[in-house]
Amino acid sequence: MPAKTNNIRTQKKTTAKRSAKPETEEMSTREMILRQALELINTRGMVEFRIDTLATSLGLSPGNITYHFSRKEDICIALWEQYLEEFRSIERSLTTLLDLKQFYLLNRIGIRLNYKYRGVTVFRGSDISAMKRDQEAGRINEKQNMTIAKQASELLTRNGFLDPEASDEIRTDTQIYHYIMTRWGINFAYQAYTPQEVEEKLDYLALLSVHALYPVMTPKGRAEFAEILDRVASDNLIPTDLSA
Amino acid sequence: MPSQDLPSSQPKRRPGRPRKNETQPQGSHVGAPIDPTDTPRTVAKRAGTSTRELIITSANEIINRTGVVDFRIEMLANALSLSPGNITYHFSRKEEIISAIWDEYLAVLKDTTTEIITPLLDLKQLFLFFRTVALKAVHYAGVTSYYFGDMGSLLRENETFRRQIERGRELIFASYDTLNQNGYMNPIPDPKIKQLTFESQVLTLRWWINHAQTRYPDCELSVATDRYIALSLLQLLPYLTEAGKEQFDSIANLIK
Repeated sequence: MPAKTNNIRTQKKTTAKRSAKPETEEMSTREMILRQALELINTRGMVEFRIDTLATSLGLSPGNITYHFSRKEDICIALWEQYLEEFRSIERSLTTLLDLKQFYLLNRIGIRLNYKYRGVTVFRGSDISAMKRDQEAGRINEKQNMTIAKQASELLTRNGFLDPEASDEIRTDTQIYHYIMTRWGINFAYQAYTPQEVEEKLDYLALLSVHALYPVMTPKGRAEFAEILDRVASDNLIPTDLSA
Repeated sequence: MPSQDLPSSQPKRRPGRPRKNETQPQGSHVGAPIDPTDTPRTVAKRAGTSTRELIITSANEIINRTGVVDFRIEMLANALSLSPGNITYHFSRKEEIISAIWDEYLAVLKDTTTEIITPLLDLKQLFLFFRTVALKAVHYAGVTSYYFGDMGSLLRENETFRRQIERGRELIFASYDTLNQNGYMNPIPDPKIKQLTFESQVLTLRWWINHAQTRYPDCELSVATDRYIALSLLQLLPYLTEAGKEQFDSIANLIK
């Protein structure tokens, strides 16, 4: 593997010479590379992902790619940043959170996003070297998630879905629980279901994330949870009143 | 003095393996008699130190620090003061070492599971069972987090994982029943919620370590372990009886 990278690096020089492309076209090549790379990483995993495979599948020379990303890790980082950027939109929509159904929908967006970037998110949160190399990025994402869970927990308590009497400790524990469910739910799905089934299980995984708060839910909260559970189970999702 | 203890016929050098051109003088053994059928290799094997096992143990330690991706056979050779050739004699590629570690982990896990879960009686014992499982995962953290995290391995091992989770469900559901019979827990009325509870527990027990690694530097990992294990019991809280809650609280206090 390291020999390959060196080989590619020397090729970079050759491509750099003919770099008189217009700015817009540069952008689209970069985007095209990222899109295709994500698809490959999603199906084969980060470890087996190779720049040459990517080049072949795009009908480009490896040099075309290394002009934009010198190592495959750089592609992974760029995809991770894209993911974080998209994730921020979830954080922003949080201020309007009113009830458990909306919390479910928020989780649903989160899980779908994790699924979209599965090759990258699944790997980033799991290989020790990947985690250590970019502990900061991991921490930022963890913080975002924990902030979301904490804020959601406060809002849901205020609106009577979570028990205000629950101790701070148990409350924090359910929030950590929630993060683990959201962050590694996709990994779990690839162990619990066949690869073909995973996509149709995404709503269920969102439900699993909401379920993390079950120990601190009030009877009102549990009743609403039962309602969401029925809808997910009967595959009657996003009825108009839920998505409104 | 050691030099005087050496048989006078031998040239003066440090004790060790005989050189190729010399044969060990018969009957010159000091210490415990050695069974003539024991080659040094089988002796080492019996003591758990065959080269193969040494390689696996040492590779596991390295991978726990570097992760699977950065792990190289040369690192292992250096750590063991062997030539890379010594290692590739046993494992031609690093992937083979990794899958040998994985197999070892699976075997260990299977043993502990059957050993512990059968006589399970109360919540404290369930906690201890989860704790043992979690500590096994810590011991093999580098390899397990790779198997639990790389899309390639998730897909390759999908069937193994599905079987594991199926079996896990039988065991955990059986333990809910036992806890119920022994008065620590009420049955979970809704089967769908029962399933969710079980899946939450599996997910926490498998991936808490990844969260711990994002959050705590290595040295604190073992300290954080118990708190995470208690977390895997949290989902049972709504169903615990008074006796169950008492045990839950005492576990929580123990951890503090």
